[in-house]
Amino acid sequence: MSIERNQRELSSLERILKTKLGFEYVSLFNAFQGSIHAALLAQGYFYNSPITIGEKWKDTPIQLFLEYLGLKVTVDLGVPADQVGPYRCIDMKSWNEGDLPEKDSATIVDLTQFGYGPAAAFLTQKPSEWEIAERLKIFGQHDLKTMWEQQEVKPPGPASVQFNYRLSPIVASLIRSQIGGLHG
Amino acid sequence: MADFPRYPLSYPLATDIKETLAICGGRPVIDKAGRKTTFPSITKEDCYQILVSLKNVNREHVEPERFAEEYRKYVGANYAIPTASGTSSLHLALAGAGIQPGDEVVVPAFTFIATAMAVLQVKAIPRFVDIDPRTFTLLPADVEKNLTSAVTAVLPVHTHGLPADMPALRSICEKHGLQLVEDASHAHSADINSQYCGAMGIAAGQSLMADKNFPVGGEGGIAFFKDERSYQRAVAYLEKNGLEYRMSWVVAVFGRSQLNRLSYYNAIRQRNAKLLSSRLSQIPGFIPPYVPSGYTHSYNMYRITIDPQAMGIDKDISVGRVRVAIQQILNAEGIAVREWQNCPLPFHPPFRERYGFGAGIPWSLSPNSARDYALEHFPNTLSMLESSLVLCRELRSPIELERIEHYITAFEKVIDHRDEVVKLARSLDYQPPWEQTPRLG
Repeated sequence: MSIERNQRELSSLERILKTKLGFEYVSLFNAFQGSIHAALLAQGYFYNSPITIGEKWKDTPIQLFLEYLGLKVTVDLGVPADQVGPYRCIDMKSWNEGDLPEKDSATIVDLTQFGYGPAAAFLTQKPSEWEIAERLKIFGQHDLKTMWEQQEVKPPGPASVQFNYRLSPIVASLIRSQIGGLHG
Repeated sequence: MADFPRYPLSYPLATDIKETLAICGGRPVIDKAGRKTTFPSITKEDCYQILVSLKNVNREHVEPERFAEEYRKYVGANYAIPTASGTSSLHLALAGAGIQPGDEVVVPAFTFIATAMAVLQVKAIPRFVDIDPRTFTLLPADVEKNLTSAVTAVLPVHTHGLPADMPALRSICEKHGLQLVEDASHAHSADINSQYCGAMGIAAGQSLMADKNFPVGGEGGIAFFKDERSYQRAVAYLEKNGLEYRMSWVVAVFGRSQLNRLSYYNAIRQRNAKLLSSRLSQIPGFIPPYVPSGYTHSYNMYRITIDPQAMGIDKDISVGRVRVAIQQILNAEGIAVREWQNCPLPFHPPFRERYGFGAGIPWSLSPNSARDYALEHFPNTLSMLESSLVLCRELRSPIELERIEHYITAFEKVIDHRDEVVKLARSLDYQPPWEQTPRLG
């Protein structure tokens, strides 16, 4: 289970999410908040940025986490309850085939309800957003490339604080097996 | 894909060192098919533990807690929080130690990036200092020289598995009223006079990821705390900031099962390192890791310093060129020595650009703490980067004695082919490691 083999285990989950949800790019995270963090970073939300959230997140750890990141949070009862900034958030376990998100948007998917530990994904059609999401993770794709190939990888955005949001391959593998059975 | 080696290695022959170097077309000391090393040892007991845990409806909470309790007792820490990663464990350790936004925390310039990232995560500012040239851990004299009124903590790293000079650092911290927090991510079962790393400071963070001597089979970490106050402070910090740092129950169960094997793993690494160190000491120009009296090095990595003059190589060839040549030769022989890090941390983009969370946070909270570092501030780090190589996983259990003998043969072969080393070193297009793109590992 060394780090080189991580990619093989994770890519299987990435593939099924891309196929099921109809997105080109996916970034996996070991926490729902990690995927939210990445999604917002990809849209240029940084310290002091204002952000609107739906009622579902009011007074929850998600609101607290956004405030920890330094965002100016407003709860808006007029937006969909699961909205965080520009994103709808999907709970993959209870998601239905008919609930496909808009193809030209990005989305955040919570995988925690499968019961193997905190897990989530950020899906997008834009490679630049995916690169930013991966860059947020220590040993995300960009760091792995630099580590093994020592090529200059110019980040698409500023070199911000990184978090270890890496998902364990065994957790990814177990979730993938559940998703495969859930939606055929 | 199986981790298991294809076949057991035989013992090397005395004549192997005379053979043509593999880089010159000869037979490698360990051929490709024989290079797999198996770690961790995964058995039916590990799988059984996971199956049994599936029956526990409360497993998501109970299993990580059980793991944390068992491992906490092993380490001798008073409190513990299991986490999703080593980085998050360091974040919580600093929070538990009471580090506030705008504070400065002294960290070594040579460590994995997560050490300094965790400081940013509590919105404090890392103050980088140099390392000891023999132990590669935080240099106490440099710590004292770099203290400012904003420094509230010292965060030594037990680099590669050798405990930092905790007595000296504790003395500095007591003198100046600072917190002493450990990064024990390399130091599973490392100790000073039988006190384990992780139980020495007010708090500690430790990675348990798949690449460590004590792995939980994926991503994981654990934060240790000396007293209830620091533990409760970390718990309150988690709740206040909505941080989702929970360890997956699956990796926790795997970790509990592996904990039963940790003593065996420790003994194997010590055996392998003792043999390697003893034999390397007899090969001119290769200097094994230094271990002070009373310290146990846990050998997460094994750093070998190169002394070209002791090998009989002329001074006009830089040690960096010789290092690169030796690395290429050994890699061709099947020995996976490498650099680990190539650049002091302050020169990695996040610390050079100081963007942080945005709006320059945390540096903008304490503008006087934003320091422009120069390479000259870290002479020991640079010297180490230029003149040494590491073995990483290669000493871990269950590494056969035959394999260690092959490693030793490869080093002996290098010395026996000194002329080829010199020729290769002279031919290289060499660039000092810190002038290349900063790498994480």
